[in-house]
Amino acid sequence: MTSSNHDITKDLFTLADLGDTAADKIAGESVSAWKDALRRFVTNKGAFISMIIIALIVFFAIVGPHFFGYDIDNQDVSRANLPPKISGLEWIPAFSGHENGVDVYKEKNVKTAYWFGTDQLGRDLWTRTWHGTQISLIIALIATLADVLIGVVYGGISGYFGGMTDNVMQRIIEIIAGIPNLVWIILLILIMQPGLLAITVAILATSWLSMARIVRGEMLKLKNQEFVLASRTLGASDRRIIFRHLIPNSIGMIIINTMFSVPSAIFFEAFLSFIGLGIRSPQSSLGSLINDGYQMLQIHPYQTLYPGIIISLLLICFNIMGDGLRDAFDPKLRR
Amino acid sequence: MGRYILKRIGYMIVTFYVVVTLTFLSMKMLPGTPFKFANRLSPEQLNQLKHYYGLDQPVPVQYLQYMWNFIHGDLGGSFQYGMQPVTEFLMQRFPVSMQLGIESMIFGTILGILLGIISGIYRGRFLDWGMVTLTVVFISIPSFIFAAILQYFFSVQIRIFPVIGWSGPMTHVLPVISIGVGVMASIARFMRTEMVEVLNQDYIVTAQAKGLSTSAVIYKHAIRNAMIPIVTVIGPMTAAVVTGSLVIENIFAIPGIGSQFIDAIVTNDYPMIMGTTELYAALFIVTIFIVDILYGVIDPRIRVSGGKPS
Amino acid sequence: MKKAKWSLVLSFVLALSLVLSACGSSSSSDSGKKSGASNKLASKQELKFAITADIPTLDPNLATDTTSTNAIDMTQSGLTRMHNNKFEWDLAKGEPKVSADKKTYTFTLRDQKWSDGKPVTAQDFVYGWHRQNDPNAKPAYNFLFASVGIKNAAKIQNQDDSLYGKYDQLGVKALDDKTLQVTLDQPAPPFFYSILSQPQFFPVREDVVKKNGSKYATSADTMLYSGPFVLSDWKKGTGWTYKKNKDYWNAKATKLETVDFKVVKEQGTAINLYKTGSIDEVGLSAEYVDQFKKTNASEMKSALESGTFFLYINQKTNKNLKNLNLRKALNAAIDRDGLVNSILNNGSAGSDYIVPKNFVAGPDGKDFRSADPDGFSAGSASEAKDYWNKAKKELGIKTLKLNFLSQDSSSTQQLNQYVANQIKKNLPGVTVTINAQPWANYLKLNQEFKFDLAFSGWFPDYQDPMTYLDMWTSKNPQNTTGWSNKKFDSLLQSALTGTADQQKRWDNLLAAEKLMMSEYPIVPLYQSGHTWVEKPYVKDLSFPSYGPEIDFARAYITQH
Repeated sequence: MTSSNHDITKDLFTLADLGDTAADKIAGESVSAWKDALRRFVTNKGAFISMIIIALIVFFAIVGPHFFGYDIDNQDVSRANLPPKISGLEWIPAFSGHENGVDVYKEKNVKTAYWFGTDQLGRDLWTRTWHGTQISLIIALIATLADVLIGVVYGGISGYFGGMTDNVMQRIIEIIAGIPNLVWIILLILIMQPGLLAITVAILATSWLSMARIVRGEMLKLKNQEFVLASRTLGASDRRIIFRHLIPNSIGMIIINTMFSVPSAIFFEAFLSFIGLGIRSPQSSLGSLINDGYQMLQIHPYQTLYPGIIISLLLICFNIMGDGLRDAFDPKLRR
Repeated sequence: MGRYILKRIGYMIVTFYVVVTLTFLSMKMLPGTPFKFANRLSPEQLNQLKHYYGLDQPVPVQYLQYMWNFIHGDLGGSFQYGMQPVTEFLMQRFPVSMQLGIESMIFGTILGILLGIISGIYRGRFLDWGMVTLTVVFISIPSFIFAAILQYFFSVQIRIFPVIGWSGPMTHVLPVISIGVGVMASIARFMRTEMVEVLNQDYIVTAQAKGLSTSAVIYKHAIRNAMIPIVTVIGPMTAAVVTGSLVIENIFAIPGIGSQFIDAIVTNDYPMIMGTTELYAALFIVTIFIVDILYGVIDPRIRVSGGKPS
Repeated sequence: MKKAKWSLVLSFVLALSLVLSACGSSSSSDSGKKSGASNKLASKQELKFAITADIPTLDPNLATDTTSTNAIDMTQSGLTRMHNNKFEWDLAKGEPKVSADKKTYTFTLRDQKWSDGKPVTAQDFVYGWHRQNDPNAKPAYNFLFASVGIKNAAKIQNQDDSLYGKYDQLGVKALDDKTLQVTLDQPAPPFFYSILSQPQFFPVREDVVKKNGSKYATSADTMLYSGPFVLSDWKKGTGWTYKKNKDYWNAKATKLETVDFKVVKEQGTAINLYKTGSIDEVGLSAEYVDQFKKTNASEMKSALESGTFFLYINQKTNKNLKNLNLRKALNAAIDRDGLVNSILNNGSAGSDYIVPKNFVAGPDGKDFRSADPDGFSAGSASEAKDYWNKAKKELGIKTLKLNFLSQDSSSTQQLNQYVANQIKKNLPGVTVTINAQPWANYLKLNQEFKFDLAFSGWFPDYQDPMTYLDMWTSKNPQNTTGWSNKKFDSLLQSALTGTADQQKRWDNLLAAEKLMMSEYPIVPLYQSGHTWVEKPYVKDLSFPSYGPEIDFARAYITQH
């Protein structure tokens, strides 16, 4: 104990004058749920860095295709299958323009350096990769929106009301899910012409199903819990209970599932490319680039590597950011 | 419960019937003919072939005919395989896909749950970060790239596993890992989320306050409660894995149903597409039924048959 | 902690890239080095293949695809057999007796047993030919009988004819167990003997068909064999095995004891099987050709096939495409060398012609192409611009939008993009949209003229230039260009009926191709090729342009 403590005596304290209301005042400024979430999200470093990386990728997806002035279909077979080369960074093996110890640029007498290399048709992969990122992000965005808007509302209503409503709504889901995606998509593509629109509609049509089922599961779990009962006793409407209590309490599962629908949308598109129903050439997407590269995996691995790294980065960042968002929004985690 | 199950079975039949009908109608909307060599034929020859196979009859007649045969267990013959019965194909191919799917699910689920639990308990620590990164990387590598790398490394370079086949434990390792890691990653992520949530619940705090040891809390309370939503995910995932493994089947030359299905779609082999779709739908509907029943068993708080909470 | 996380990410990405680059740099070092090709027969005569599709059917009357046809070719026999692009007498004991009007042919059969021990009889041939023309048997490819001119075949297949379905009126008769008499509507065309090697003309055992019903020819034991091999084991979806047929009349020519096929759909997987020595031969797609050129050049072989690939130009519904200069511009705009060397890279040859090289020789013994070896080029890229400028003036247009219909298989994706880009690049102002569709829908759109350009290919039905030329006559349903030329039609008509004078017929066909290519109704692109690697100890394995797709009937293995 320090000596200074001895200097404090009881008479130094006086009784504060409390009015009638002061006792009921909550200490600290009242913070709205959104503000609170934002504050907690920003302090989460991992999530914040992820957000910056995603922003960077989005930036490159918009600007990257215009870096070198090639369009996505600038072909020239005399410069086909060049490995990546960045002038000034040749000392890094990955950007030396060498493949299996041979300077391919010298061999093919090409002067220009291609940062991500070129493909079989001699197209600049830097341009195509960022263009592909753009397309994949658009697809991912739509899938995510569909998940959240349709899936959560459908699952919420179905799980909360239960009984006949649930029964009918679940049977509809079973019918939609019971017919394989592929059949839906083939039909859509034959009716609508292959392309971004058909792919988007196809993903829209089926991607919300798993979200709806998960939200319904959460609803079933939560709806008989005490706090719901309390809220109901206090006269809350169904709508209020669903949207103010049940859905916020399921937010963890919803965000996690949303973060999964991003990769699954990107992969679904990749799968469509794999069976030839994907994005219309000469357009590219990360999925179609990986598929094209897959044919070359044993021969020119760099053609898969860069789209692969971008997909991985996107997904890692979306996940970490998703975790951050969940932590920020989940009422149960407010401490 | 018994009445509830009976009622559900009734619904299942109705759902299935709708799926069969919808599939049939969508087949009729597919353009073109199932005759791969149609480019060699004159319109008259094509009409003749359509006539041989009854494809020139009005759709309602074809539909009734199909349903009649369907009830009698006859799904028709495959156009791409010289009219061999579709049922025979499904019976040969489907068990293989099923086996591959289930083995991958078991592998992925067990590992995923373990990883998820560890990750959830050590939330925010090094182990957790490692786990999160690992799972995300596995989710973000397409399974076919992963499979191709595994095959090249373990079968061509080191040669411990055979390149292709489905005829012994050694041939199962690589395909099951290729599909299983994706399952593992998904399950681990869900499990982690649930663990984190459950560990924050009041009853866990209560249990700890009662003086229960941490391990007892985790084993007796946390894990069991966290498992419930996982059951919902596993059901549809099994169906998706069983039918969605076609690329892996192709890479390891496994005689499953997946690659068969793509061939059927590309060649307009209507009976084969319908047969496979129906099997898939049946599998899916039954899985969901089982999940719903299990749900009630695992969590007694849920009354599946119950109506609106009152 | 955060540091740890990112280093983990980084190390994983690094590890991944290492694995990936390992895939690229290392190559199969074990295969290829031990060539030491002695010519002594190995004691184990076994050949192993990978193939992309299972056998759809063993029924010679239902087979339409190359896998089925190959399996039937290897396990059954007809009157003739193709080997190295020439026909040999198989179950026919040499030349038939030919009547004075050259319309009746009497074949004497060799002694050959079915795999159940019963002899192959002339009645089996008659049954097979009848079944091929019986609508109730749902036959495919029965039109071959009409193409070759077997008596009444065309009428039996025509629904509006009084002879429709009356297959017993077909011009084939068993004079006794060993004598088969074939009657034709007109003197036999030059490809008559070679077409008899096709499964549609094979003998079929009536009792076996009746006994097995719908199970006939769907498994190894519901079929009988009479060829160089028998199918001993067939695991659906996995693969099958042939064993040497000791009872084949020419069994001494068969050296292989076992031939094994595995169903493998992925090219990368098949390559891995080859590298590990699990298979002895593998076909190479463009990407792998360069790789093997560097590492296993001595094992690489290449052959021209008889597929001819081209673009339909729709001048029926697109008025602009009626302009000859525009069609010439399209023809000249595409650099075929770039296409076959960089995109296909598999031994295909760029083509400015319709009838392929090394496919059929005329009465003088010279190849059809020897008259115009390089075909009918419309010119280079710079000439393309000149034609395009002329066309613009004549049509009064500045720009042109073209809808390019093609197939969506992964192998055509690169080609689609290349062709579209070449036209766009060399004809400024022309834009090309690629419409890649599944096969069935492609056919529908093609037949309904819903395209401007359409990529297509043609493989021969029989060994004669006619199979490539008659599709361009005015009324032929395969002619989806809308191009029509009366002179061309009459040249082909006289070739069709004038089978008596073979030299004149040949000259007519030569003139017809030349006439057609002066108007450029299509854009010929390339003649398909096949490039493969085979282990150095495999000998006499061939991929002929007509006949069995993979001919291993006389192949053998040397000591290694």
